[in-house]
Amino acid sequence: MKLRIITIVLFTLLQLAMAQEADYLFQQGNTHYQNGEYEQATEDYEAVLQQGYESAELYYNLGNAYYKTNQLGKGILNYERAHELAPKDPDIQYNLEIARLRVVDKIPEPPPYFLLSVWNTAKNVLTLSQLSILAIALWILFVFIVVLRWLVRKKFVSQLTRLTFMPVLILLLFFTFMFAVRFQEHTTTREAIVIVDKVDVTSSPSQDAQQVFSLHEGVKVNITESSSDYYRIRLRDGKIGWLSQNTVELI
Amino acid sequence: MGAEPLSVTTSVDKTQLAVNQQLLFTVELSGEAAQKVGNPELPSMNGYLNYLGSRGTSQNISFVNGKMSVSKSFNYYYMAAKEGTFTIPSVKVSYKGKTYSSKPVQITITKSASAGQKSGSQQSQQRLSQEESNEITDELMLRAVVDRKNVYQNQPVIVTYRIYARVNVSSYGISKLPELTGFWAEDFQMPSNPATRQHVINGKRYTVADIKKQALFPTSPGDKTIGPMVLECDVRVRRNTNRDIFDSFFDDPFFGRSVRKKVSSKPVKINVIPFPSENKPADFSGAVGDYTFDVSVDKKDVETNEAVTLKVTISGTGNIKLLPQPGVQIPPDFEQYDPEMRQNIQRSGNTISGQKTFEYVLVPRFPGKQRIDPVTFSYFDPKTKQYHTLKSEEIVITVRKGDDQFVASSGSGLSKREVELLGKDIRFIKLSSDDFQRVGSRFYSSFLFYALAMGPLLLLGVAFAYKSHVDKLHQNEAYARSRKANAIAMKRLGKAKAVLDENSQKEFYAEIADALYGFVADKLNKEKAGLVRSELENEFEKHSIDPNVQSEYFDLINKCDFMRFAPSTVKLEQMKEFYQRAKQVIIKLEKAL
Repeated sequence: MKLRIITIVLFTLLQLAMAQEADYLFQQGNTHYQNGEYEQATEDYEAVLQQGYESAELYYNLGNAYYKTNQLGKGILNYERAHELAPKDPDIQYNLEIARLRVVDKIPEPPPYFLLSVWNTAKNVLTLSQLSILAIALWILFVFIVVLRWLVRKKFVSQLTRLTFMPVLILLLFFTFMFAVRFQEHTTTREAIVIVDKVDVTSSPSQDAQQVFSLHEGVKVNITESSSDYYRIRLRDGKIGWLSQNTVELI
Repeated sequence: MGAEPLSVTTSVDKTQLAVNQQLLFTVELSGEAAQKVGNPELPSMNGYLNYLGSRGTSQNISFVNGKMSVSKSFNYYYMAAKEGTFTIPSVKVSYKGKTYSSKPVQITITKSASAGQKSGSQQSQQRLSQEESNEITDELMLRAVVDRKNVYQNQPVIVTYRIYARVNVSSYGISKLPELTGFWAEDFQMPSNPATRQHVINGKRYTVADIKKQALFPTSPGDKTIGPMVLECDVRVRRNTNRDIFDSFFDDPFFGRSVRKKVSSKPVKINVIPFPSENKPADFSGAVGDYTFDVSVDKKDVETNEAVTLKVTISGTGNIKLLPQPGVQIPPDFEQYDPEMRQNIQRSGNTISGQKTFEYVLVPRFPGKQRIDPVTFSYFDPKTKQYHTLKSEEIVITVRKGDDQFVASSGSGLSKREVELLGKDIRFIKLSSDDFQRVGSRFYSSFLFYALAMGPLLLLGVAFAYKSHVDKLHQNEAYARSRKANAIAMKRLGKAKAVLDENSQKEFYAEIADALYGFVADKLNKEKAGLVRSELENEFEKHSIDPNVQSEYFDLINKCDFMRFAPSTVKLEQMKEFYQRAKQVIIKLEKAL
């Protein structure tokens, strides 16, 4: 028992120390960045990730450092990661937009149906994490109301539970549904960014396959399948092909 | 002819001729009306003769016996096209509603000695000499001499305008340049004072000079005509010796008279053969001649955004000016500008030659190995009558990443906002981050999430179990009471029976009432004290109790209440009967409740 307490205490302390180390490296990276030493800045930021810590700000700064060292692909990759963690952040949106302008391949996006675009916007108002927190909170509230209703036979309480039961149930179902849809989407769609200057996309997953088209650094692709060293990708405009796994990095 | 106002006669210069020879066809109109009618309509020659052109008209007016007679001649040139005997149909001319026609003329066309498409220069030279002697009959002539009459499209015809003179030409000037429809002309450089040479033709000595030389490139297949060129010459004329003495005074070189004379060359017919279709390369675009071809780049190892010059040089003989731009496939990773074209043409001797250079400025925008596919160039060699395809080597350019910032692909399709953003720098980094979390840790994949999702379920389960336990207990009490109701009632009735005595009638009726009330209260799980009649009636209605039983029950209750407080005495028999009635009602209610 004693040993266990000591282990827990030590572990917590270690965690705390590592978090401080992460923050220290982050600040060091910032200093390098401010001095224009972008290469060192990327090393510092990457070291934070190596420590096992991440944050929207870290990915954003790392994206900036990569952008400044002309590594557009990695820049966009990190902006995308930052954007996923903090989709409302205007700085991340702005820099991601600028970086995307530098991408050679302009992939035309088929215009979405009005209703579909409304749904997509509505669906993405909250992040997946926020949706999950909301759904859990509603679930706990709902259970609380039900338990009150069952166990407490006071007039005031039964009136209150009768009034709140339906609205909470409807909200719970709605947000659980949204969360399920987004979670499904999150687990099934895998996106990646091209991180090499140029990659030839071929018609089949082999070295001597015929080239279908080529992509350049920074393009976002959807991965629909993977086979040994290759990914089967799909672009927003519907083009499909295979590319080597080491030419892209998953977001 | 007197009566007829118009007569039409036709004649040919020869009735026997060979294929490719020329025929002069003359239509003569004579009579009073000759001047009033228009040009005669030419008959169809059925493919035997090809129309070359009109040589003009001549008019002859004469007075015979005080009467004016007019004749008008139209001269046309034809070329014999195929062998056979052919009758030139009559020429019809309408005048005042009446049609006048000539007699048909029969001609025979024989196989030409130089038939076929041999274009050996010796042979054509020979034929020319033959024609030369036929044509040069005058003292001053201008001839358009071509080196060949059958050419492929874009194969040059060298036409030399040659002047033949037996007179002294002091100066000349071109008053009309030949009409060259369907040709692209390149002039050869000629000395301003053409060299003269002596020629003896038909025993006569001529001074011959080439005054203009052109290479004509036919631009499309078919029959083409080099139009006549008109030359104005100042000629010194010597007097005839049989003139009078006064005139002969001037008859010496110093006092020779200068006369302006116009000479015109005859039109020349050129047959342009289309390109053979067999073995025609796909990229052939009309280059004819003999060429060499070179493709090169100035550097093969560059940084991004450093310009590379790709040079395509085509040199040789042929129509350099009309050479098309070769199809160079530039990889899309290069920014490409319109090629700069330079050409250098030599017009000397009997050939047009030179070289044409296309310079492509390419700016690589992206690093990597860039391949420029081999460039091909196809041409047709009329000498061997074959197509040739020249192919360059593949060029590999290694592009290294330069130091400069990204250069946006100067693109179309950018919105106004995007264009504004293009020049902007990214925003500055964030200086602090207070929410470091473990990489990949998301609330929805954490233990806490599942605990919070499952925990309430457990709570719900526990709460439900407790609730159902309480409910069941509650339910059991009522059930037990209901089950026991009969026994208790019977027990009370038993008590009543025990006090069945005239002296203790109050106790008897109290016990009966207690049994009746208690039984119903137990059955309905209600407090005995709280039961009122109206409530009981409701409950009985709910359980649809027989109205007779109801009234009996209430009757008994009423009687009990009455008897408990009444001073009167009842007989034992009546009490026994009452006891039986109460027992019956309880049995009946037991069945229904």
